Amino acid sequence: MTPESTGQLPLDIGLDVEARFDTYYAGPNGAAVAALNAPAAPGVWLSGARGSGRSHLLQAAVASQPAGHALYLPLRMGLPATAVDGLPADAVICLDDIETIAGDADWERALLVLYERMLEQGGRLIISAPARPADAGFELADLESRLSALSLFRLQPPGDAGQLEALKMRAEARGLRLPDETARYLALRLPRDLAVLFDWLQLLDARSLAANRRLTVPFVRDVLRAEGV
Amino acid sequence: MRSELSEQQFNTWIRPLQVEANGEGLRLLAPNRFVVDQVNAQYLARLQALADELSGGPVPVSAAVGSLTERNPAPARAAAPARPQVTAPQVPMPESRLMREFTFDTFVEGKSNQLARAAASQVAENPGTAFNPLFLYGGVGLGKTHLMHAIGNAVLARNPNARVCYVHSERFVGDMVRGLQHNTISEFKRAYRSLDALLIDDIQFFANKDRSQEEFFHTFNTLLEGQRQIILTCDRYPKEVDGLEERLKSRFGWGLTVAIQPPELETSVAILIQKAHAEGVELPDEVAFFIAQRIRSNVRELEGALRRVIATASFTGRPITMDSCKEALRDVLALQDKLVTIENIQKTVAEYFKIRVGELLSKRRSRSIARPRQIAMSLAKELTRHSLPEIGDAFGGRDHTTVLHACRKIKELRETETRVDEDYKNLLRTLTG
Repeated sequence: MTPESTGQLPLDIGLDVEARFDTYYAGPNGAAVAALNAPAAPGVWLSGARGSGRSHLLQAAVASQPAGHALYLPLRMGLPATAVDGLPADAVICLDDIETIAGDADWERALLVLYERMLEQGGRLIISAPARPADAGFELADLESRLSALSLFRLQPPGDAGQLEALKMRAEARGLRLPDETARYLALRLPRDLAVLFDWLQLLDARSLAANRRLTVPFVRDVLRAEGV
Repeated sequence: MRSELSEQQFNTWIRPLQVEANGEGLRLLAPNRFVVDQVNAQYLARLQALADELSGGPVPVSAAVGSLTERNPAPARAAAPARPQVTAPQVPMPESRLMREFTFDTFVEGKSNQLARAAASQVAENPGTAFNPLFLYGGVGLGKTHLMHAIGNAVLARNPNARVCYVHSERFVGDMVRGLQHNTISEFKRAYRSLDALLIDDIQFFANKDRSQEEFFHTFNTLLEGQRQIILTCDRYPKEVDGLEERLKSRFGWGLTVAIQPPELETSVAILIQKAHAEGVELPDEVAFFIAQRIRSNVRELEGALRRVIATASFTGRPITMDSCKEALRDVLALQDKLVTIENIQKTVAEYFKIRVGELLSKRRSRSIARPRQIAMSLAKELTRHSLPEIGDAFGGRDHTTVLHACRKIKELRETETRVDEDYKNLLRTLTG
């Protein structure tokens, strides 16, 4: 079984866990979560590897604000630069995966204007990317420089024990009981990548519901085998 | 509705909406045209059905750009205070858009910026007469914008009736385009041409925008003829801006052109201490020096680093120390995550122990081979996200329990044998840069 084939599964079997601060396993990233919960001006830049929970945290930051005062824009969707035209500059604006628009002149200029307006009106910009601003690939030095004034937090991987905790926490949030031995069994056999583990949890949730079985080690072993692990 | 959409869809399109009930039904207020279009195209029918269902009868639902707060607007943070209009009563007082915190008092002077600071003071004291236009240029994040706001604030402090306006050049262009689109260009012209001081930031963004340059050229002439002050910033010397008309370049040089250089170490330290003080935080000198030595590019990056250090200290509830600062700055200074692969680990470990990669993957169990193999497996577990079976496979088709055993063994040896611990740390350093 290759690492690729244990990657994120193309599943569409209902809603995932609601993205809130209390459904995120903070572990070594407590300071980042605190900074997002009450972002100081001009905002926060969140970096971290895939699966570190950046999107979850950005959406949690939006969910923690009153309706109409926050907006989440997943830039990987390929939105046009006009998507940020006239956004309320006193709000919390979360831009996920900003590296996907880096190098696009229209987007970079639109963000420069947005940043200036937000600075003037006291809004907060929360941005996520795999790397820090200097490595995000911006062409516009003025934009890169402005975004380097954001408080930078780099999400740290949770470690083995933290990963188990995060997995159990996620199961609980889905209303699933995941026994310790089953969590350990999964962690030993699957890629140690939370995004992938969460996808497997979603699959196991569906299979256990369909088979009317609990998440015991024998049941999980059967599912993993059936999926070629 | 929430249970029918993904988190992402809900947070992007539905959560930003505000609801306004009027006599005719419900109006959904969206932050911009783009969101309105998406809501109309994707979600309005469902929202309409839900509204009908909840109210037990047909309730018209529509979406429009707007916000509830606009109907009860809060005063803008840096808006000019209401005051009698003296100079040009026919034109409404423009919003100054000045940042109150950017003053001469909060500007830290050093060798790199003292000439610009002195010129700015002169202009603030005698606007429209000395150095007109004042042209400040230099790299990003060096304090040009701060000085510009400081002049504006000082002018307003001396004469609260002065019509001062700060605008980023991109916004000037945007306002002008809107003026043309909405047939309000004459208001746009009157607003800008009636100012006592016009502050335009980053004029390099006028490059290749001929219509904006033309409009700005006329505004520039009107203000200069009326002895009104113009202050401009740019990332380079005026003559070096490509795509700018020659007549503009030449006019920019009529007043005084001053460069701002990157701050020297002492100025950076002073900036950090002052900014920390403004936040009510005690920043030890050694910590300020540590940050300033490592971040040399510009002041914004210094600010970002300081904010991160303060946030960490605030979260842990402990005072700022060298240790807490180093911990926080590891994020700021860290390079992009290096991609560490099992192959790379095997190659590095083999080179380090002067054995061949083939031997690492072989069945040989002599200690000179087995120990490096265990170290490599342990590093693969620590530095990659591969599952234990995958790591076992990559080491000559071994079982995942062998990998688990290797990891446990190395953990135990690192605690008892200094040599193993040193080897492990050296390899970790090599692999993670």
